[in-house]
Amino acid sequence: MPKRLYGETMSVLNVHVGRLELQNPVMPAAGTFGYGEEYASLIDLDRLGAIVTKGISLAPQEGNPPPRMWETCGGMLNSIGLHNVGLEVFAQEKLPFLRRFKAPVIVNFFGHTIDEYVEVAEKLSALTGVAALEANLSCPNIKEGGIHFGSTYTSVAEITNVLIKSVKLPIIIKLSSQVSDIKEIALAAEGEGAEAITLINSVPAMAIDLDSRRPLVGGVTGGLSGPAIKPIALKAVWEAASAVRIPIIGVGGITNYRDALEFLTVGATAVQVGTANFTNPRTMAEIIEGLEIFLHNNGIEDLKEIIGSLKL
Amino acid sequence: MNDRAMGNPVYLKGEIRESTSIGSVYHRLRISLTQSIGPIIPGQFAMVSVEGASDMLLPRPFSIHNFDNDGEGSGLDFLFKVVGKGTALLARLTVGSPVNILAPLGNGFPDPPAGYRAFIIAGGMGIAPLFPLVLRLKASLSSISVLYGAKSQEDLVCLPELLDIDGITLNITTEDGTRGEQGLVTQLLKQEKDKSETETILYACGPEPMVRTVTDFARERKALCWVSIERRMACGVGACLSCVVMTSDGYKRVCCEGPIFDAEEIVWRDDVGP
Repeated sequence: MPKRLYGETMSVLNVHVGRLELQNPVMPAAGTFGYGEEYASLIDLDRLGAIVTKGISLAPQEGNPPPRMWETCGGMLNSIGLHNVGLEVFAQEKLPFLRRFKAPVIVNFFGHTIDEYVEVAEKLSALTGVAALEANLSCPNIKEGGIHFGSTYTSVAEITNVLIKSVKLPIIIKLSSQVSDIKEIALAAEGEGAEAITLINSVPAMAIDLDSRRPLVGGVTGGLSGPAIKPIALKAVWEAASAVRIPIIGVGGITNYRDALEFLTVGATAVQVGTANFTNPRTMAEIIEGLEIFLHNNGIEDLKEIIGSLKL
Repeated sequence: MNDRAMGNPVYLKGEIRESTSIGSVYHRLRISLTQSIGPIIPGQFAMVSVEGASDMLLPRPFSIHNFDNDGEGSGLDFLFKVVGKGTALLARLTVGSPVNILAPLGNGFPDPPAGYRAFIIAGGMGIAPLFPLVLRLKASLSSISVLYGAKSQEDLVCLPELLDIDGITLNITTEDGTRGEQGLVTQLLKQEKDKSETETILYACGPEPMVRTVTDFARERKALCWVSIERRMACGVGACLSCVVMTSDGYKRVCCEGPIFDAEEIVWRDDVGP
């Protein structure tokens, strides 16, 4: 039985994601929580397992033309276009605020070439208050005709390899579910030393307005998130978890503690919450409370007992 | 951030106190909160969500049309047109139904400098944030002209409320001529063009072509002009970057740096809007 049901730290919820020790497995998904400061008055950031920032690039990125968002059946289609303040402004104006919190800061980042990924990673790892780096590989490789870095075994292996060699911080590789064999891609990341894998990114998708015959988002296509993609994410996490030993951070449509537990059951060690933060900014706090109560009510002493407990 | 934004938003559970259909497509919701929020400045908005609603995954942003605060709780009025699944669901909710409110959000309309006369230009549902502005400005300004236009008489949903206000000049247009002058509301502005000798401030909200015409007029006249910009939003607090508008200083977030902008700032684009 947990000794302090509503205490500040619940040892029963803590998990390890590589070298990172998290007080609980719940963190925001990159791009849905801004730089943390936007939500600081609405949710206690210190309750979170970790804080994950918006994706950072070397130079500021303006993003896609509006409209940038459309709600679909059970989902949200976004075409934000990786709009971000860039590394310099992040370091000077955004990171100092995040240093006030005890939750480890995971900085999501991306580049347009492998050299750029390395440069961003090196510069981020030199900053105080960054606990880990999450590489978003769902970006077009401009040197390889725009094919996504995360789409082949070779490119995932190559990028993971150079990142591991370049920085000492834990490297988490964030992958897309849109590959022919997620097990193979996950093995590529693990084989080159990734500390963890985040699965899945938003699913490439489209919505159109029949009357005007125009796409409903400015980028023509976008990324689908929300409950609509949860079954896709669960399968990807389950498959990857069956192939690799490194921890997997599950993400895709998690709205409540039961969704979070489903991801843990198929093998995720931690979870990220995205679209649900928009619906209810307290979602992550409610998930953490829900997990505590669930463990208590079911006589489960350690959340880790649930990880990978799927019965076939 | 913004000098007109008032404090931090709060996320509260509320319930529907009144739900009124106005004609076939408009609706007014009064939502009561058991906790006081505010102060609220005309032009600020709220995100309204319904827990567990599969037809409305994301909250919907609405201008705060009316507001009261009695010390023990707050009441928020929203006036909206039913345009999609989310607004249809909200319009179907019965009195007593729970809703969640994130408010107050965004900046509000700035007050005019002393001695100015104000033109308030509303197109269709653009009246929603402008009505509380009329009430606020009436206390301090001697000259307020409200120019209110819509497609047809039944689209002038706020007309009875406006007619109840003494001491303002109210001019109406409808595109089909069923009430007031036939045509677009912006034509009234052009008629006013040369009459005034005092300094003018314009406040506008409505369809983008209307707002753009008002902006052009203000530029030509070198008048102060504040416009309320509408965008689809997911978070309402500046995190998701869905609601950006192009300005002379790059993309800005309508939810945080807006929804009220100096008309001078907005960069209009012919293809996709700003």
